[in-house]
Amino acid sequence: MSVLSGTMLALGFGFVFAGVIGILRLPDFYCRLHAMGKCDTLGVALMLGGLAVHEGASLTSFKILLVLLFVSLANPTATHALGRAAIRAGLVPWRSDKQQP
Amino acid sequence: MLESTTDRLGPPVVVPPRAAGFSLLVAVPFALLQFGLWLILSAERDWFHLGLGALTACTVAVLAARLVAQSPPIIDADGQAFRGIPWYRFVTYLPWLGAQVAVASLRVAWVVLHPRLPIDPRLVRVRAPFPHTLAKLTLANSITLTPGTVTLDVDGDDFLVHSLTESGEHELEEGTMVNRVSSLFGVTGGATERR
Repeated sequence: MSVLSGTMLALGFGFVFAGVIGILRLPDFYCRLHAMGKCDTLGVALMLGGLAVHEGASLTSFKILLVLLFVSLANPTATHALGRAAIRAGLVPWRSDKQQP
Repeated sequence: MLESTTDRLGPPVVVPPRAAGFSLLVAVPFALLQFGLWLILSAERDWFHLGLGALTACTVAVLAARLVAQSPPIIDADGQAFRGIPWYRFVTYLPWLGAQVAVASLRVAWVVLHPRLPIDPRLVRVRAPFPHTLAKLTLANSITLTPGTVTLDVDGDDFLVHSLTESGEHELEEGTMVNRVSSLFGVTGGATERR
């Protein structure tokens, strides 16, 4: 059980770490949305799941699962809301050099 | 009084059917549901906490009952109200979506950790004439959760999607996601267009 929860925590940490690297390395707002919306959702989900497994079947792990549900709904929603606000505000997406005319 | 107003103003305005205002039939089960959640979450069994929970549940139920009763109208292609998704379709859709989320995160992580940062972002316009809002919502969220693509805006039947890589655009063009959502809701899908 502790092996499973440890693996999930480590994997989750890896994804959150990749998300952070992505936010630092990617060129513009829209690309950073990808790093934030995907890596972080899976990373946080894995970490919370790992904590729930570590805790076993208890009230605390039920609460953790509720938080997990909330995060997996709220994170994509927030990602979409940010992206939509940006495109409506007229922020032009970055293009790589090979596509420039 | 309403009729005399419409007489003076000419032809009657078609008002979409609205759910009734405050109704105990909605509020009481809603309050009980919330009180149950309170019991699970607080795990305190003394009168002070029970009383606080009952007070909170009742207040929220009174304030929000109208919103619960008035769920948004979801209209099907033939004007029928949307009744629900067959459970077997939902059961096959969810694991597929979960796998897509894992693949999406892996791919973004790979791109981000790659030394040369192999990205080629672009905007793609996906056209998917879905008849009801719930299908559109599901498609938009599913696109967001799948590899390399984020839905930015929905305008009528057009979905504006930001794709991180070229392959993300190709996958949108193949229309796998649109077909999945179509079969989930039992409606016809659409086509993709480069912008």
